[in-house]
Amino acid sequence: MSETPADEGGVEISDVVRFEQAGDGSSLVAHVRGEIDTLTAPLLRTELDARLPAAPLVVLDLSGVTFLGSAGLAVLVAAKDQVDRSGHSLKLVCGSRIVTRALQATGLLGLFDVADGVTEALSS
Amino acid sequence: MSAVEPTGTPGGGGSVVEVRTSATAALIPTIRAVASDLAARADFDLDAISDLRMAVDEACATLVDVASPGSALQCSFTVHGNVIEVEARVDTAGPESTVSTDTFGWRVLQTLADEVELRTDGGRSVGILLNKRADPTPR
Repeated sequence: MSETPADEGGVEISDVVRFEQAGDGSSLVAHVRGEIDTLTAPLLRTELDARLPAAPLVVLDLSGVTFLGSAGLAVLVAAKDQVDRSGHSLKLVCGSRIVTRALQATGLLGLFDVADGVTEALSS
Repeated sequence: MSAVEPTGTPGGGGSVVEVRTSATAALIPTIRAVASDLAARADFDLDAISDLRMAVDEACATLVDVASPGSALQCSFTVHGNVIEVEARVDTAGPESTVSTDTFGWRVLQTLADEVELRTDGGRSVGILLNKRADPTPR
């Protein structure tokens, strides 16, 4: 089973984000996917709140995101705040025009440290 | 042909699509998909399609929040050449059900759409009217 078919009812957290440890375990990569709107953003927020504090470097890989609404943008801003407060760092991998446009059109792009890919984000 | 009532500018000759759903966040993806499809067919560029999809999402999410329980979300899309006008509306329980325009979401909506207007109807319903041009607005 490589993929669970998406059913119309409840959204599973595994449909929204998958975490991966990287480097010597000090980096956390969050692969976010699907549509991040008012339905899925709270799930993402809860997961990030729980996982972010432990990681000095967090990479949010948004290359699987197909829609990013204001609720999703607010989660990204909150994650950035949380990471900044603890002196850690956060990098975004936008991956698609959809994500870049959402950040750019709302004037939020400049807030983030953006990398071209997960490998670049982890190595720089 | 009287089933569809044009809600856009009278005499504008635009084609109209109306979508009516339960006022629930779970159905907003369907409305977003309609917005994207209409924009793509009206030759909007990719950024303008993306902007319209986000603006429609924001308008619907805002309205679903204040809709009275069990009510419907009504969205009308009118395509006038290279402009798409959207009116989204929900019934509300009373005058206390208001949309706050002092939020991150409302700022996003104003940024993404070319024009946005909040329309209230004495506490019976709240609507958001927005329009978007096909060509990107310089920012």
